[in-house]
Amino acid sequence: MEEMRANEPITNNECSSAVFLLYCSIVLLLYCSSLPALQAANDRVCIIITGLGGVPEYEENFLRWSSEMETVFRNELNSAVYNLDGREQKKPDILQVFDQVSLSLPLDELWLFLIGHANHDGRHYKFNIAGPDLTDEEIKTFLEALGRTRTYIIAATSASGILASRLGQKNRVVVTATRNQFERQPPLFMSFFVEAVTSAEADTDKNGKISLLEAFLFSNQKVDAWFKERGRIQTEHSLLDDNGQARLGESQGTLGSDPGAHGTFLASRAFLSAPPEQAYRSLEAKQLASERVEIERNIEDLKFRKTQIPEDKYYRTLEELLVKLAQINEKIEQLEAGR
Amino acid sequence: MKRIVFVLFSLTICLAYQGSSRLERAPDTLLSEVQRLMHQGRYEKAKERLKRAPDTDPYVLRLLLELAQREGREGETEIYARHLLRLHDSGQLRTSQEIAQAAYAAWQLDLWQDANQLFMEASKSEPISLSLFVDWGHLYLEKYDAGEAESIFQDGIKSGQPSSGYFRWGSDDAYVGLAHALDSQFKTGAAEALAKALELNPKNLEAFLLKAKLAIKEANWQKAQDWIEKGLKINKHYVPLLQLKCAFEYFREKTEEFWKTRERVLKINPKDGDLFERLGDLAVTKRRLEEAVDFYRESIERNPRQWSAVASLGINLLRLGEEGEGKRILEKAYANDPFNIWTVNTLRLLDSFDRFIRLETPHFRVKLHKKEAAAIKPYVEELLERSLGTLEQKYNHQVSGQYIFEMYPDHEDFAVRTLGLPGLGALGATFGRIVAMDSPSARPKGKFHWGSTLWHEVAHVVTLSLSNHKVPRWFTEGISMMEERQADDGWGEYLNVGFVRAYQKGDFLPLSELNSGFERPKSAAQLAISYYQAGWICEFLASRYGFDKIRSMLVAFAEGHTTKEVFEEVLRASVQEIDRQFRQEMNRTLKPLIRHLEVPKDPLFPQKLEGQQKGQGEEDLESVLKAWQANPENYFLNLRLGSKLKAAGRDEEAIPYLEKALQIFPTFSGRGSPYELLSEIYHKTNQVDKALAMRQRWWKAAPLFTENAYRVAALLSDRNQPEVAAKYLEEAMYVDPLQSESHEKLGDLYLQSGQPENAVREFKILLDLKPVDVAAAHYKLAQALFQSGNGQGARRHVLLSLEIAPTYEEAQKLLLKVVRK
Repeated sequence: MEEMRANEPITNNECSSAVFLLYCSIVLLLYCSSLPALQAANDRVCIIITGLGGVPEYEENFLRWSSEMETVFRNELNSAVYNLDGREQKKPDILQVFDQVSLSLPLDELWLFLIGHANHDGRHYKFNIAGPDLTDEEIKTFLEALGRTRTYIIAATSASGILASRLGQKNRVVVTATRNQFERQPPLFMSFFVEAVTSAEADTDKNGKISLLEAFLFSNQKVDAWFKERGRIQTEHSLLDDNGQARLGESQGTLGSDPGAHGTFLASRAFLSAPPEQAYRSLEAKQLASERVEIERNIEDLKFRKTQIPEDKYYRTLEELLVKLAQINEKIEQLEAGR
Repeated sequence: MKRIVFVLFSLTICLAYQGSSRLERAPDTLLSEVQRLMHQGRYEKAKERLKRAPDTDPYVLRLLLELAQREGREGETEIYARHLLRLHDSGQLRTSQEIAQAAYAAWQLDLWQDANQLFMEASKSEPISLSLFVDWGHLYLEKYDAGEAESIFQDGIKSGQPSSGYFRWGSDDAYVGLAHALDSQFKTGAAEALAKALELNPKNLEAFLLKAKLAIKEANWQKAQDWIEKGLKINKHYVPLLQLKCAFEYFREKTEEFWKTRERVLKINPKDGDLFERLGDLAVTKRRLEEAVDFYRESIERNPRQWSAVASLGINLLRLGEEGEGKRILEKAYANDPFNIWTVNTLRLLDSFDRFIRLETPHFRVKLHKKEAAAIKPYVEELLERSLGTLEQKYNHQVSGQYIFEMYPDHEDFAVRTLGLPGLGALGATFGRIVAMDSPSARPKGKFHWGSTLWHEVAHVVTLSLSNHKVPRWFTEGISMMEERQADDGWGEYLNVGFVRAYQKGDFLPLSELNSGFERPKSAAQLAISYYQAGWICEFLASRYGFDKIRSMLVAFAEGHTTKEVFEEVLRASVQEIDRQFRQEMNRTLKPLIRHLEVPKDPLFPQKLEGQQKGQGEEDLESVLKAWQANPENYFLNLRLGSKLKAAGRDEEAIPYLEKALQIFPTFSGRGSPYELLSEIYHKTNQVDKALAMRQRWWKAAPLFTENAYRVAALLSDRNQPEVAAKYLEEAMYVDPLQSESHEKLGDLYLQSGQPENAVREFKILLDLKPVDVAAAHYKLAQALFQSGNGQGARRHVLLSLEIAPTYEEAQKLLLKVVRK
């Protein structure tokens, strides 16, 4: 009984209770860095597995990145978080967490972060932890047990590119730091991914939230720039497999020329930060805000149909909608300013 | 019929039998006599003597072949060559030396691979003759492999000259070949090898020829003439020397003599393509490419198999901007002579041109690599036209037509464009109508100021044009160095410790020899010193005699005067006198510095001190202080002490020493310089104004380290001085224009300082650089366009911004402004 509870994510509801303190101590004993989420959302779980660093420099980076992602999911997104330290927690411990999560269905979203070193032995992707490595087959088995849960996998490891094809499928986004199993250098990808989550620059659609797609595009471009700036041969090329249908990587496909395509990605609707809180004082402002949502939906719909509409007509309609939207916002601003 | 068949069969047998018998040989004395007659120019007599010799003797055939070749009797040449090959094929050539004659024959028939195989075969039969190595080495020289040729000539020298008997070439000829090979590779030792050749045989005509060629390359016309005349005294009909005499007369503008010599050469051999190829090659070294092209055309017209001339024609047409014809001709050259590495490299480069974009300014047709064109295009266009305009006005000379300007992100491509070969150390080059240079991404950051290099090259465009391409190299380089320095603060080269040391060691060349510091530098250091010295001399001449004299000198060179004549006519002083005056100026400037720049002899200060200016030494502070007390005016000790104190955290105490070092030698502005150390101290101790001032000084002294420009711009921007801040970022673009952040920041500063047109330029670049935040880039561009009165453009870009980010508040506000206007 005690062991079962130890593998459960800790929620903020329990934070104030004395039982929670005891619970916390047990968890800390078992999972060194598995810290409690303040307000775990029942519908979203995040599992972060940090692998072996090998050298202190890597170890420090891996742990820092894991800790930062944990903070994001725990504090910003109110998610249940399992932060598993692969130096201490071996394969059975991790598989036990997998089992436990799959038993807690239904879930809306599952996020799985693999941060560390990995290799490919010609047959299997192997994530390096203490004792036997965690394999792609074990991850796959776990993911298959999740049924309809939308799943987001961020494999920030060497040789991770193979996972895009091994794990990519409908209702799933797989982000890998490398484009294949042959890119074996420790990747920089995760450092930029962490930066993206808090960067206004990464919020390219200016909606105040960072989507997984935005974080990926930001990191992908930053990695590219890092190597170019130093005149080095690029040893990593990240990939994003979306819904088992679209693959983004070195070439961003239609994304550059067709902004409407963004919205078609599952990764564009998965967020790594919470939307800004907006409370309106006047009733009229509240009404306008709901009208605004309608226009925003119309804009997204128009963008989605961009390729089917003559260009002139598309931009004319877009401008009309955008002007309306801007006018509504202007009005809301005036109302809220007390005019 | 049967009878006829029988007779033919018998004849074949008979010939076959004869083929396997030993050849009839001419006496060695006869062969040596013929060779002596040829050396003396008594060719008719030589031919007469050979008539009496057995025509199955491979040495006789070889000499007959040479004589026929000299006169362009192609049919005969081929007969002798084929005869030699038949002798080999029928097994009648057995000794190393005999087989080598067949190899020579194959070479003359353009069967280069066969020739090489035969030389290899010959080299396996003992005894190996020296002559074999000399012929073989020359085959490699002709086929563009001077490195291999060098080792073959060395082998020849090692094998030694036979003590008796007939031999075509001696040790002296092997040394001449070696000199040739070394010179072709820009290696040192050619002069020594030639000296050895002349010691062994003071009448070696090939040595005279090479001596004269080298003298012409160095523009030492008198010396060249002496060697030519000396050689022609021995053999007045020696064609290679006559060809060179002809070239000498052409470039010395002795028109009447030129035509006479030309006729003499063509009378000997009307199909002499070598004469015109030689004239073409020399015209190229003098950067007179249009004439070179005409000569190559004539060379090919006279001898269509002159494949090296075909390749040179193609390469030089490209240098004149004739890409279509140049490529077509190069392809023909490649088809017939695939060994020519210049042809191969240039064709490969031409294939890469589809990765470049092309654009035009009023005076330039520009090629920029696609990967960086967006960022550098506006800066390149502006600087090209500004530099040319400034220099045309200054030199009161308008260049005609358009020039081709190319920037290469791969330095080796630039080298191929320039030399046809990789491995060139220069940053830029101007030849014909081409100005080619490294692009910003070709060099490590902080080591290349492309703006300064561009200005340097454009100065060449003006001086070469004004002097009708007759300016000596040292003078055009000197002017370019001077103009670079005058273009903007910190551009170009300034005095460094290396130059002071060179002065101390007497490494600055006399003015009369300065050209050799460019044409034939003994080391990379000598080349660098020569550039600096040439620039300084030009500045000295401009300040002592007036800038007008610089221009007058260029005009005098255009009229065909020698350096000596130009100095005497324009400056009213001899080259030696100007050299004396310049040395006085050098002494005045550098002598006082020397005592400040002495490396202390104290054992605590090892040799590494000079290069170790970052305070990383092992010696303790006390020792440095002690040394400083003994020599408080020493630059290194002040710098050392300052950096030691800084490293110990005693920043305030370090300042006076570093300031003192800066005062003593302000032109050292690299990493670890007092500028850097003082900037860091002022920053660390929160002396913001001083930190700002020091970074500004450092940037003015060395506009290479862009972090200084960025920091200064940020500080000035914070102090609400956007216009001044923008200046720093503009200057930084001439070093590193590929950072999207700096274009964005510069655009913001332009907007703040009411320069929306410039902001439009920067935000367009930003968009082309594909930033992460495309919506923001479109918005900023829309804002700049709106402010510059381009409502339509603003509307388009604000829409593009909002299309990506419909909830982007600032963009929504701008959209409303645009539609309401």
